[in-house]
Amino acid sequence: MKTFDTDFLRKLDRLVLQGSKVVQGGTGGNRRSKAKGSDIEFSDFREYTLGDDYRSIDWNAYARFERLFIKLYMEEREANITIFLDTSASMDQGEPNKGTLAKKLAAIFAYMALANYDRVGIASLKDASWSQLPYFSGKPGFTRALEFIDELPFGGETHLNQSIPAFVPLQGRKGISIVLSDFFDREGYKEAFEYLKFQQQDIMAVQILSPEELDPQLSGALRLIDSETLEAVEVEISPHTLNLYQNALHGFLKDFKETCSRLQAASLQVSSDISLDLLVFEKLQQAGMIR
Amino acid sequence: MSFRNPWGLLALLFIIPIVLLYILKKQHEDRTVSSTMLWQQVSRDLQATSPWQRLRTRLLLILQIFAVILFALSLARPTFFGGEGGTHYITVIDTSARMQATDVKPSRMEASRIALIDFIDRMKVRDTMTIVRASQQPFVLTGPSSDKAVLKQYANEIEASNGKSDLSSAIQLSQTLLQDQSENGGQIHVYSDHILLGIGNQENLQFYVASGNGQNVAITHIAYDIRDNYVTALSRVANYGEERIVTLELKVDGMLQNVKEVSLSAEEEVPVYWSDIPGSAQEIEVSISEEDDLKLDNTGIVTINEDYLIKALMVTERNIFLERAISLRDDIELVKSNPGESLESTDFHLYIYDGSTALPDKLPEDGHIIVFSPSSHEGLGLLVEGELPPSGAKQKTQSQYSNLLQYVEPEDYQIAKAKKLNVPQGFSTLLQNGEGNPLLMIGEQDGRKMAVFSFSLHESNIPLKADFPILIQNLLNWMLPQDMIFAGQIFAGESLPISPLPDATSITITSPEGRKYEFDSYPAPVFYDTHEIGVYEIFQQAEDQSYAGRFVVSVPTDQVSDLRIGRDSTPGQAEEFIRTAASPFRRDIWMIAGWALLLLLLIEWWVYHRGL
Repeated sequence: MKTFDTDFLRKLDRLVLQGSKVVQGGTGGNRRSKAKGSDIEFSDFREYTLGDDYRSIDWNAYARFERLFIKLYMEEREANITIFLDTSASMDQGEPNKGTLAKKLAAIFAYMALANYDRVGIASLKDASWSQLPYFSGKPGFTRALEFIDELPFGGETHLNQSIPAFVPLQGRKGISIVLSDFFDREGYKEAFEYLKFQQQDIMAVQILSPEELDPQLSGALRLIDSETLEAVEVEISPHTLNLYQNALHGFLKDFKETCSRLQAASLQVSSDISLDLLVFEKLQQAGMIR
Repeated sequence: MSFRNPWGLLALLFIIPIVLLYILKKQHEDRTVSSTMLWQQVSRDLQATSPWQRLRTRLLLILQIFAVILFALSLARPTFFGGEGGTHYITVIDTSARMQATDVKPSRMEASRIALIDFIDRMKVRDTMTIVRASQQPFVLTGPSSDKAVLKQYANEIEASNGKSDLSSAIQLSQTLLQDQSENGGQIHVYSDHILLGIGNQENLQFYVASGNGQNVAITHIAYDIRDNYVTALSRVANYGEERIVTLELKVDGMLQNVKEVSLSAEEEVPVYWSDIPGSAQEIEVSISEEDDLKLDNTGIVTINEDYLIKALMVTERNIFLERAISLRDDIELVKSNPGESLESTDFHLYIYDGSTALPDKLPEDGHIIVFSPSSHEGLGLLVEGELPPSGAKQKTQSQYSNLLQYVEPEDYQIAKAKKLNVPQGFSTLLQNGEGNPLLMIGEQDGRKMAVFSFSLHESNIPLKADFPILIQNLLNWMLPQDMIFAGQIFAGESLPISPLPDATSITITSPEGRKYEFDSYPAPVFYDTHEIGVYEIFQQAEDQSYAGRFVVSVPTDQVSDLRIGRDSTPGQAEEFIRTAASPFRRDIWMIAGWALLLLLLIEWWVYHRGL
């Protein structure tokens, strides 16, 4: 997936995910822990692995053991960033394709998290199940993340209320959960969000809709077939019908915003034809997802 | 209310497919979308508002049906009659050949047309007009109408003829029409090149005169004579203008043969002879080279038709009186035979059976028949019922064939002996004795003309009478007109009765411009479409052979060549009375229907796009 150039990635380096949750466990990161006081306080050693901040290498220990060790502090711990990517069939629609933007956005979030020495886990949600790229940290893992994201196939239905709670690896990991979806889920997504809150997650929800969903350019008598369920709805497109659609869409978007607001989740609604620069360097910041 | 074009109401049939389209279920096109979640909500919302939606659908349907009705009305061109109206005008347009004169630019006809169209444009909304064409017979082109487009269309289609016109009859007809169409006055406007006074009521008559200082020279006559295998042509040239010299050209069969210069003083008509024309010439044309204000009469044509021999068979023992009487016709070749003789050829145009033994049992298939003193004959339906005593002869009154006795005085005839005959079907009595028994019966069957004398000429004093040859010639002319092919010269617009040859099956006439007219030979046709001037070809097709001939339609120069007729007339010279009185008027409302249709379509568009 040739999505990002070096210049773009360098810009991403300067951005940090905005999370408020107390981070937990793990090795050195750039996120401040509330639990352990304000001073830099040594906590533990860990052997250096690729991608770790070389500034944390304990050179004294190296002199003694000739092996690289990292000093761990209570104050600065890595955060758990979980990216939930909706890969249901509905995401593989739209011009430009919604799934493509969602994949790019997942990659961007992953890159930003890794650049900030956070641990990243990526979960692909489809039907009531999930598949994952287990949590990892360090920039070198980004290539693996890209490969994983790129190879994710679209299909199946969206059941966020079932698939997110079923994502066991999240359990016991405070952190940030990013949900990328169109949220076209007949069962809703409130339960999923409440579950994430229960798991002490800062929720960032990005709703991606295609231009034709935001402003359908349809005419005539149509049998509209659902890409996930293959259910058909017969409608005769008229200005009146389109007005009713806009009303329904407005309610759907408003409901999403209100739900996120109530659960103190950062939310963003974007069209799949938005440019990446505008999305990353403006919209995400305005939505309070990055700083 | 009435409709000018009731066929336009057929457009109402469009309502059927429109209603069907609303009734029939629409074919939905499949389209895949991300999710139908929102569309299901739309569908639920639509069902919630369906009563209003149904009403809206009905509203669109009703609007569309109304649109079709208005469209049909526009096509049908409804008119309605109202009480208070404007002035009714009857416009008479002179279409004589003289109206083609160009002394008024572009021509008298065009100037009249422009004036008429200008008047139509100035008509008030409730004014109506009837247009009458003054031609050989007056003709009403359009009934009362206020539709300026229709009136202008008729005005534009009128053309000057090549013949004369009867303006007087047209004005009389218009005055009658005006009385019928307009109870309270109205006006007659005459567009001509002269003023015609003294016809009926002059108060409502107004003339528009298109006339200038027309200079015209015409070929008024052309004839020929054949002597010693050479043709001599006589033409007459008349000058209806100021003194001038003209050049005459002679064309024989289309080739220029001779040119002569003729000096003409004002109002002079001179004969011009052309000699030494080959005897083989078929068409002689004399024309004036110089241009004048009426080109139409600058050419005179005459055709020379080949002599055509009519074959007649006379079956008689001897009848010198009859033979002499028939031989007065040069074009009849008489073949004589004795009764009982069989002739090889039966192809005769006329059969004369003289005497009771002359009539064969089986009559020839075609050809006219004259019978004298016949015996009973099944084919003719004749039955001899005895003999009649000596008697005089008198014409039966009210006979349709009375013209056969023109210049004949049957009262002087005495018949010593005649046969008492029945009157067969298809025959009627022309001469009878004192008791009413037929002496001469005339009949027609399938185009075959027949005459039956119930006596022998030898038993009467008729051959001794001075009018005997006239009687025979009358009969021959009726049966075999001398000009049966060559009809001679006629004037444009005149009708031409055609006398088919006895064995002709079809007749074709080809006009100078190549138009073809087909006729059956029976009943004898009359050719009316003589509007083109020039040489017409007539072709009679018989079973075994055909006969071709020609005739010339020319300009009635004595009626149309003198362009000075309207010179002293000035437009509006006639006293002008304009009345604006209440009169029935008829008004076209199709324009209203058309505008309503447009408005309705706009409303429908608004209803649809506003999503009402």
